[in-house]
Amino acid sequence: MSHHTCKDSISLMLEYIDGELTQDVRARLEAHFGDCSPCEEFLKSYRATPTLCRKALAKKMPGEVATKLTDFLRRELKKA
Amino acid sequence: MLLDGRNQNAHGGPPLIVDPDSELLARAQAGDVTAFEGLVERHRSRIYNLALRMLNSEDDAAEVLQDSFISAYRNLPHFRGDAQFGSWVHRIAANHALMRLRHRKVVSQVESPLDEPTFNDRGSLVDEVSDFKDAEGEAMDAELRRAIEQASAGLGADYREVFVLKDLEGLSYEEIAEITGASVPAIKSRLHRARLSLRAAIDHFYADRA
Repeated sequence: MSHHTCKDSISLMLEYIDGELTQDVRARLEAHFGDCSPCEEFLKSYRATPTLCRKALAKKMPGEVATKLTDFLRRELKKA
Repeated sequence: MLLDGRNQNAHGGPPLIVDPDSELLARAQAGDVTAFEGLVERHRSRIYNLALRMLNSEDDAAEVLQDSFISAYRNLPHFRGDAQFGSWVHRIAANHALMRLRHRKVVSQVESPLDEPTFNDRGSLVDEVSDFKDAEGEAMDAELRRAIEQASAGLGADYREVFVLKDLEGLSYEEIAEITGASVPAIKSRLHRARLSLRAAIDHFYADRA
């Protein structure tokens, strides 16, 4: 069984998380994570990234945007 | 997604999706403007967030919001209820935001190079990896928020659109392929590179703070 390098492992992380790898490839990848703590940490941080981004990029819509939208739609719908 | 046998379609086909907006929608389709305003009120915040995340501009996001609901209103007679109203209008907004993002890409392209991990000749990871421990549970640090906002804004349009639609909006690869016109393998490749770049930005934040 050939071993994965860190480069191979990182290139497969998306498919690994999506559960799309074959059993054989997944086993080799997990063996690499077990032996390589930087890759294990990398995987944790890669997994955490979407959640952190969702949190960071969530914005409350300003009240004035809502008011402008309502005014705009009322004007436009009258024309329609 | 809720399915209910009582909502079988008129031809005895598979059950239709129960849409929490169905009552307002029926009234709006019958010409009740107040009911349409009710639908807008329920969905405007999510649409605004999508547009803002995609375009990184409050002005553009506000315009996409207006364009999306006007498109939805004009197309209400053609909406047949084979998707939920929220998903349908969300898709309309994704298309509007995408058009604007692509137009902007043609007009002026200011994109940062993607930040990817570095390896030695044997393919081993050279970078130090910071510990993201507890980051998900913490209240978001204002500086971390800024670092992520900057990194997201610096992603090229092709990368930002798939990252926003998949990781922030939760669309499937197939839905993204339909909206963007890109193949599923291309979408996965862009998403992976976008995540690597954003992960690196967060990693730099923690490394600088250590």
